Amino acid sequence: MRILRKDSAAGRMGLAAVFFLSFFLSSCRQAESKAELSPLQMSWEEVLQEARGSTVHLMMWQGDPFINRYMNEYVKPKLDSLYGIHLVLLEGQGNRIVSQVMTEKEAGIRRGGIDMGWINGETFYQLRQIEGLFGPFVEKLPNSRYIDFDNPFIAFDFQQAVEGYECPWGNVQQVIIYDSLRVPDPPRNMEALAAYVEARPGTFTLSNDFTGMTLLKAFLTELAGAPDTFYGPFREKTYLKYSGKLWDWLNHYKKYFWRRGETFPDAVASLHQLFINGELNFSMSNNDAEVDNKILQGLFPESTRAYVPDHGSIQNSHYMGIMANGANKAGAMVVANFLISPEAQWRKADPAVWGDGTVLARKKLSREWQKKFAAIPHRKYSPSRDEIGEKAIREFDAEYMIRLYEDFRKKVIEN
Amino acid sequence: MRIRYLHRKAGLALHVLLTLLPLAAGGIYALLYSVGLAGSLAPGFTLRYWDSLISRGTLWQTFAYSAYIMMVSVLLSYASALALVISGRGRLMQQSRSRIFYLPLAMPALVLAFFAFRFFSGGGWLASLAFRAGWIESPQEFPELVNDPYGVGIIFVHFLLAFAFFSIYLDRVYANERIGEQVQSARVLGAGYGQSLRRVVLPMILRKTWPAVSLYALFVFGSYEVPLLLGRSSPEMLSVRIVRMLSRFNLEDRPEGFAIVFAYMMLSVLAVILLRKSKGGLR
Amino acid sequence: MKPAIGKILWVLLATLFVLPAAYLLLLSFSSSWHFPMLFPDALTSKWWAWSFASRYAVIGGMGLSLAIAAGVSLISTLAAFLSSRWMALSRHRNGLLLLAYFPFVLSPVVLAAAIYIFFVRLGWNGSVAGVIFAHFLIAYPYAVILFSGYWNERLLTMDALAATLGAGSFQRYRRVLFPLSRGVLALALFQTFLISWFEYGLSSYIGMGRVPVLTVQVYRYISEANPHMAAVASLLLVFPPLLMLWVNKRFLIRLI
Repeated sequence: MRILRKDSAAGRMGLAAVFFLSFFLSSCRQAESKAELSPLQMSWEEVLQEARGSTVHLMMWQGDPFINRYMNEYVKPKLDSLYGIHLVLLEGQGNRIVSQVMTEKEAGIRRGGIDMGWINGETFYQLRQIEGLFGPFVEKLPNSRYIDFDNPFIAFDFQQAVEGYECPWGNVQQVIIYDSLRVPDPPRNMEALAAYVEARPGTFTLSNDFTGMTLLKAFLTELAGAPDTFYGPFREKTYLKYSGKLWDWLNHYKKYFWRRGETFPDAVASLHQLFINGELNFSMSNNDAEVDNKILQGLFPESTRAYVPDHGSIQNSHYMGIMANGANKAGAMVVANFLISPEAQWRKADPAVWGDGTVLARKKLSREWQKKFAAIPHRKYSPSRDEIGEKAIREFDAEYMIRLYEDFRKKVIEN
Repeated sequence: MRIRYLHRKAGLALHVLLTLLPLAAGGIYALLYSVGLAGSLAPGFTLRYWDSLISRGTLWQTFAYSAYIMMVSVLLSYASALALVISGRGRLMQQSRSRIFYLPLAMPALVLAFFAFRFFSGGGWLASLAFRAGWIESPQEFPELVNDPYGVGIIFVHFLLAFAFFSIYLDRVYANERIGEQVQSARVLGAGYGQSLRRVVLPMILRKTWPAVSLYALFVFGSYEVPLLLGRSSPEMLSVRIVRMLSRFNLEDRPEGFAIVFAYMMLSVLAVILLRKSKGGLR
Repeated sequence: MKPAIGKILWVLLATLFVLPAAYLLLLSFSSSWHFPMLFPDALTSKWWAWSFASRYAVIGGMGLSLAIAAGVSLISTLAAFLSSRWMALSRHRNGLLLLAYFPFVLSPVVLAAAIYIFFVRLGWNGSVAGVIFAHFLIAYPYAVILFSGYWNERLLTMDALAATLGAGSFQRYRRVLFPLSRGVLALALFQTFLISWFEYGLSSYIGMGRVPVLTVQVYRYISEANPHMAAVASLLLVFPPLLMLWVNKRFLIRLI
């Protein structure tokens, strides 16, 4: 402190300099954002024109080589050649997007660093809560007319109506993955799973991420007996009742999980890695075509299969959201429109590319595209969508997900 | 002369700003956030975040776990390096083959942690070796060396880095302080080998090196990449926990994360001041 | 130490130290390598070829890392050289030096988390300049501490002598101080380079994924469970420091 007082004249000068500098810089940024026309008021032609030559920053989960390849080798060059848009992918899951937008809000930034994000569920909910999303923009997209909005698994994201604030991109259902050589008869319910892990301790676990939490929802459904227990808005009582049973069950059997349930893989990619290494007999995925795509990559053994247990599994959609403080909304809209074009959706649905379910309604497409979609090579190792669709559970209200994350840490991991 | 004097003062003021401002600004912001006075969901002054952190015991747990990793890895590597340097009588690094000691220093912690994971995990290379040798029949039987309760993997990586560094450093101190000659004179005066070690070598080296060792220990305390890859879900080391809490789904967790940031900053400042105040510490 | 034990010890140490790099090298050339294989089933150069292909951006990331580290190293060495000289002449030199230790002992990623809001406010997050500035905040104190023991009586006297003989400030740096300090300047340049080159947590936090430096890419490949590409990126990360070791091993001994 003595130093500060002695050098006070110089110190004050320095401080003034820094403040002047920061003021100057922040005022520069403000000047950029002078009254701009919202793309919602433009015609689509004008949106395309506005987007041409611009850069779009898309923050997305990048934990899968196939998805990354689809984006880098197909989407990026196509956007560049068709619309002159330069797409930049930023690494980050939902929580990273929320905390970034939140920090920008706290800093009073009107032009944020993310234009759009790959989101769903609790991320959508939280971004809506902090008014972080731009919209309603989906109707504005020419290709949105093909979207299957009659499907409640697409029109509702975690029980919340999408209302044009995020554009559906893909639709998937969770499956459990196993090696049929090591597990000839995979467990069909929680009781069978408990018996299995008791007999073969250390061969099963779930990841401490959205995939693992999604499995917990299927467990909750089995404990409650009926999936519609959790439909509708969040109910504290219902949550406490069934989650209490779930934590008891987990805490009782986790000693037979991988590493005695004292630690859990932090991401589904680690889970796959442990499965490949033979440490685990099971993995899981929120992409029902994952097994085909991983066998094609040479990562999973050919004896790998996937199934949905009797308690069913969550089917949900993932979406593209545009940030309310994004600097390039027109560009982001053009990207979103491209991603739901029949061609982009058709490519994405091929198990050799990604195997992600389309959000387009076949009957709305031209005859030609209908044929192309019908001709997508069938899955060899994953169950058909129609078959598992019968056991599909709708997503619960986002609040359940947030609570599951928190309580899984507090009541199981830290217990 | 007057002008030159002024620009020196301005320069030093800039130094004060560069070193103090980030810490002060970040610290004050973290403190305000943790008591509900900053952030977009700020509820107004409250101690409930601190209260919940302290009453759940997770704050102590995180600090204690980081301290444990720090103590074990630094003590192990320091002791091994010291034994090596003493037995080499300060001429270790004069040999050309000693270049290999510099190899770990050329590797970032992130890369070494990645290697350790591939090498020591249940489906890793060592487990494959054990399988081929018939010691284990499946990966589940292989002992837990990464993501394990005792932080073996984390300690291994820190040990490798610190052991290489301390060996080079202590060897240089041994030579520079002419410890070999001191031992010789002690022996001439009739001291036994053990006695000269206890009375001359150890005190001299410890006195000379402890500030650097303390600083090194503080780096291990705050290390991030290594526990990120090799740690487990709980307990976590400090940096990993802070980063996770600041980007949690539950927006209410941010204040608790900032509370840990503030506590850690205060602890670091305290450590530096203590190091400075103590005899023979930082200049 | 008996010669036999000594030899065994050397072999053990050599194995311990060489193993990580050797293992990663083999991994980067293997087409697949998992339990319970002791060696990869086939060798391939495809991962290296991929990393040189522009769409994987590995080489681009390496160039970016090089540019950032070079920038950080130059700025922090120069700034610390000047301020440590002024400090040596100041009555408050001890207090001023103490300040440098504060950012120095703090975990870089926590520092990044604490000041992130200010970076966002200034619009420096997610930009190369922002990452350089953030690296500078930890490299500068390091260089100050490195130089602090350097300004001895003899050097300051020579400087004063040059001043008495009529040399201007700029001339004294150019003709007296820089030439005399070539060794320590090189040391500071290389070591601050390494601090920036090796930094992961701070770079990823401040860079927001928009500044794909090499360490950020290594981590990305690890987390998408692509060990071969992670190994390639890791080796590229190790290469420049190895080169330094070959030039002058002293450059590698640093406290971070």
